[in-house]
Amino acid sequence: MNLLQDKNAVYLLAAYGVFLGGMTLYFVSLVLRRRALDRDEQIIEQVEREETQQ
Amino acid sequence: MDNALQPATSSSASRDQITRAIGWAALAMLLVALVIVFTIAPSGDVRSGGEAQRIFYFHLSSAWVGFGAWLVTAYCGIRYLKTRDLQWDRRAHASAEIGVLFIVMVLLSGMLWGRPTWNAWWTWDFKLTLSALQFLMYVAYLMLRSGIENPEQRARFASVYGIIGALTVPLNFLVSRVLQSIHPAVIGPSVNAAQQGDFGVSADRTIILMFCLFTFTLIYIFLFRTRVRLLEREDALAVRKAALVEVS
Repeated sequence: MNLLQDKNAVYLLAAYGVFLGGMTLYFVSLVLRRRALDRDEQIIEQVEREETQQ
Repeated sequence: MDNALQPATSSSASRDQITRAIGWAALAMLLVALVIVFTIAPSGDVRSGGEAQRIFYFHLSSAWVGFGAWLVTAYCGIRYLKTRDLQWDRRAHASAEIGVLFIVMVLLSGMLWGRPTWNAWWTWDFKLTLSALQFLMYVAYLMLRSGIENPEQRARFASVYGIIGALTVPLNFLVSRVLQSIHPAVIGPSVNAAQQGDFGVSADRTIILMFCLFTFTLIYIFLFRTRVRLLEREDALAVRKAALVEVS
């Protein structure tokens, strides 16, 4: 029987949407947090350079 | 000196490379697992939800990671209390954060399987209630951490909480096996197997399940290493910020 013809297929697809969506969202959050850290580190380096020059 | 506060070295670069390699391997295995689950895995009978039975492979794998992450958090908590090395606290924190994600996936996918199988999204069954409680305990763990400023005090409190919280993991495993529970106990014996529907795992399903468990373990390792690395950098940055404030 075709998977999509089953009346319960919608629950199956929703569940796998939860699995893949959940993991993707968390991974994206890690990427965004890493970018924010990169930006913060650049700013700190700049301030540290200015401090040593003074 | 806390090793996160040391400057970036070639060892941290090689650690990042290993993490990336694990990530690619996990992604490849996830794609293979999806193909297997949707094409090769046999569909279930009406009692087990028909096509919705295929939810089981990733549901159980998520539970494996979600509950396993608690044990890792507890282990890291014990190591922190013994060594007072904040690296163990970072590992405990990372594991708990990932654990929340996987417990949420367990609860939601369980509801999506329960609706066509039990004709109910949720029942206040012992196992389901305990799983919901574990989710709340994870959230409380992260809230506890965010509420304490001092890193040593935060690590100490979180370690103790993590160790106590991990006691719910064996309890959750046993509850559907020794008490009357609607939740199927597919692995190991159960006192009420007949009422649960006598769900056994056939040999072909066992192989697929093992593959999914291994895939999810690899995903956990990748996310864990990535999160720990971020926490190390966050802590190192906080120290540099504090030093700058002192100077100015």
